[in-house]
Amino acid sequence: MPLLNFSGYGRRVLRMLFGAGVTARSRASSVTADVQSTVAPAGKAGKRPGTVAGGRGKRVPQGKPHAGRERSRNGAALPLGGAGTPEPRGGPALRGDATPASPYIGLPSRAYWRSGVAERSPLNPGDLYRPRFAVTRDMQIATAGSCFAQHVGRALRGAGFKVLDAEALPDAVSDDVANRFGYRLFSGRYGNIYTTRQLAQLLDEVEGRFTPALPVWRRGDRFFDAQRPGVEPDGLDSEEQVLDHRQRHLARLRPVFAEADVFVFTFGLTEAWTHRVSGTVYPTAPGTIAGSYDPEIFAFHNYNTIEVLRDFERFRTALKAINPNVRFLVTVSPVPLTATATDAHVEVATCYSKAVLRAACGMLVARHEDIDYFPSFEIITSQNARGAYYEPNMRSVSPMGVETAMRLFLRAQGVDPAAPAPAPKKARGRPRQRTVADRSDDVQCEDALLDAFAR
Amino acid sequence: MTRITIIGNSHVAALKVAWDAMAADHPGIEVDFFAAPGRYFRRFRLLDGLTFGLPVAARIDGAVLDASGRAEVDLSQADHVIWAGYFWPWDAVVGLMLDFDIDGLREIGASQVLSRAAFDAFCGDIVKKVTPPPEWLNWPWPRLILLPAPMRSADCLASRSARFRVCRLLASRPAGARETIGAFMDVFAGSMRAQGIELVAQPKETLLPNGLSAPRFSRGARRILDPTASTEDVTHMNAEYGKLQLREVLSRLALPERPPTQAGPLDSTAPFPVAGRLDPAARDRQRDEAHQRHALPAGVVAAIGDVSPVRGSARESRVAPGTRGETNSGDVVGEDTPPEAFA
Repeated sequence: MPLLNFSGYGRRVLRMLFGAGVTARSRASSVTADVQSTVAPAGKAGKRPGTVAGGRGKRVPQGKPHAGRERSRNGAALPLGGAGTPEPRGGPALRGDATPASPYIGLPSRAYWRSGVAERSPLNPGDLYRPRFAVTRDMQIATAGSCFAQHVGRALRGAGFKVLDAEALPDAVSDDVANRFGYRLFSGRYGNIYTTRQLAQLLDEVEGRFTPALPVWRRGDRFFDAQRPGVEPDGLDSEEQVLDHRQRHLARLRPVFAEADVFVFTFGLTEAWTHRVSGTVYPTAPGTIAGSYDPEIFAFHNYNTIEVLRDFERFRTALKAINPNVRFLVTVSPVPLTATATDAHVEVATCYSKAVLRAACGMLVARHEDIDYFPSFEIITSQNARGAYYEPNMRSVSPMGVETAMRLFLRAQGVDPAAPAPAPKKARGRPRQRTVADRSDDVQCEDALLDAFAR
Repeated sequence: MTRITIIGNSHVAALKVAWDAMAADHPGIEVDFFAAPGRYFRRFRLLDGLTFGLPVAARIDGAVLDASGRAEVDLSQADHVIWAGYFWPWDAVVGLMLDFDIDGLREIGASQVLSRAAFDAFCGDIVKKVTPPPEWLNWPWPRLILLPAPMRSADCLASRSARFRVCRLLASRPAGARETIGAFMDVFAGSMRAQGIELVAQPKETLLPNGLSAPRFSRGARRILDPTASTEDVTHMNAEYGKLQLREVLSRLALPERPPTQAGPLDSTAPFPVAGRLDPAARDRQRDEAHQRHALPAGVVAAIGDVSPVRGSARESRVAPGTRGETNSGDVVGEDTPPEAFA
């Protein structure tokens, strides 16, 4: 019984995979074999694994990922396990009988859904991440992004990495209280930065190239920084006070941007609220924490991939100008939207948002050697996890999910997550110690306030 | 007769010498001192009910500075228990003061600024870490009063010791320091009051604008106790300080004090609570009446809120012996008062 119906959609897939010059029938068997991971076990050389057209070869035993062609971390093909020389990736290899082999034959088990996901034991994050460059404990790391980025920063701190903190508090203040006022969440007290536009805008503001429109929002008789309304839960006494706080905040940030060896950014949202005239983007909708919504002044914008890409490119260029050696580690937040301002269902809007952000990350990684992507989104949302990495609200990432993702990151970086972190050294900023597992509700998410508006 | 038991570390000495000079003016008050050097005092516990002392296993000769050599004291016999020299993390508070301007309190040109709300929240968080263990909270009787250890004397500024570096930094940028420490104490007092404890902060007149204790309240602290001492003590305060603090405490307790020029017996109608040997209901009634008739000054109420008597069965809810936490007592930086003070 065929696994795929090659009429219609299946045929188009095959054409995409193998080109238009082959018949669906002649390739169907190979694909079927690949989908089933029907490759010959290693050691049975003499016959290239999986090249038996139409045959149902033996599946790769679990735990033997090198049975077929394996690739090194830099992508170079490794020799087959006793099966001969490596095969170029550019196209189907020709065997002695000149029958073209599929490029999907003989790949490591991680390359196939069945062996890489379906047959992976539940909650095993697998081999989803291979670092493009090392992140070491002697590097200075800056973090920013959506609320999920808070987990990244905490995990890195807990593992003894030097996460910069431009606005450090004395240790006598506990994390919970510090977090409530925006401290110790990221490398600066800028709150959640959900969009790449806001990230680029922040750096421009730090560098004196940009002044946000309507920088102070009100709620009753209290005043809030429109660019980080969550850091003072009750606001401040006056507009002047807000502006003074902001200027000092910005002054503290420049060293973070200038001195970071690695800049970690978690892409969070595509939906944002902007100032119609100036284009200033805000992290929250006016009227959510403070301010009031006036459609004549504010506009909703849902960024597309090109815009996200362009904004991050702009940020990267600006950051490189003051910190030429900085590298980037980007992630996509697995946290769905709390609410959407589009006409779409929130689930559809979430999918759009994450797809845009993920695509932008992929394009960035393809364009720049100094950008690496950590698949936290894939780890948390994996079908293999069967939703276990989410809280019952199906939105918040559970502590187990956070820990799984960050353990995978640390292991991939050669750090034993279970080993005690080395004693912190005094560095610029203040590396802080905390365990990898942090409660998900520790995370400060302004967008969660949108729940208050849910019908 | 009102019975007051003062417990604590070496900071009790200033109160002891002050009381020796004041006692004659307060014939209706009986004060019992039970103190030990900080390194020992921090091992003291509520042993059983309100019996306070060193656990038997930890008893060491010379650990207790009580004149009668007691190793424990029954606090239930007192109407008021004063815990003097109570540890508080002044260096953490000063740490905030050195790194930040604080809205409405302190403007020193720091690169960072704290909102007043954040400062209060951070103070509240710091205070939580020095709250007495549960068995000390919400006593129906006697009333528990904390006297935080005083700030270092400004005489420490002459020292080059790293131990006083924070003080030197504080003194180098004094703007609003005293007010900021006062704001911390307001938070401290409010937090304690919510748990049935009254906190009486260091008298404002003993603090310099830079937040350190005025030297005149510390000089001679050591020589009073040890006439042969050749050095000053920047940690402990002298009898003058002790008098100010005791007067502040007595005023909070609404206890009468004979005017200096007036001779004769105390006003027998003075409405202070007399307790300890009354049945609990009568004792509660008297206490409530006394509180109602003697409202605290408005400034005190603003700082610590309304001090209503706390009812409840805290004694029954105290944790079992052996499960109590540290008492957070003792001044680990200071030198301990010589035992001669209690001889």
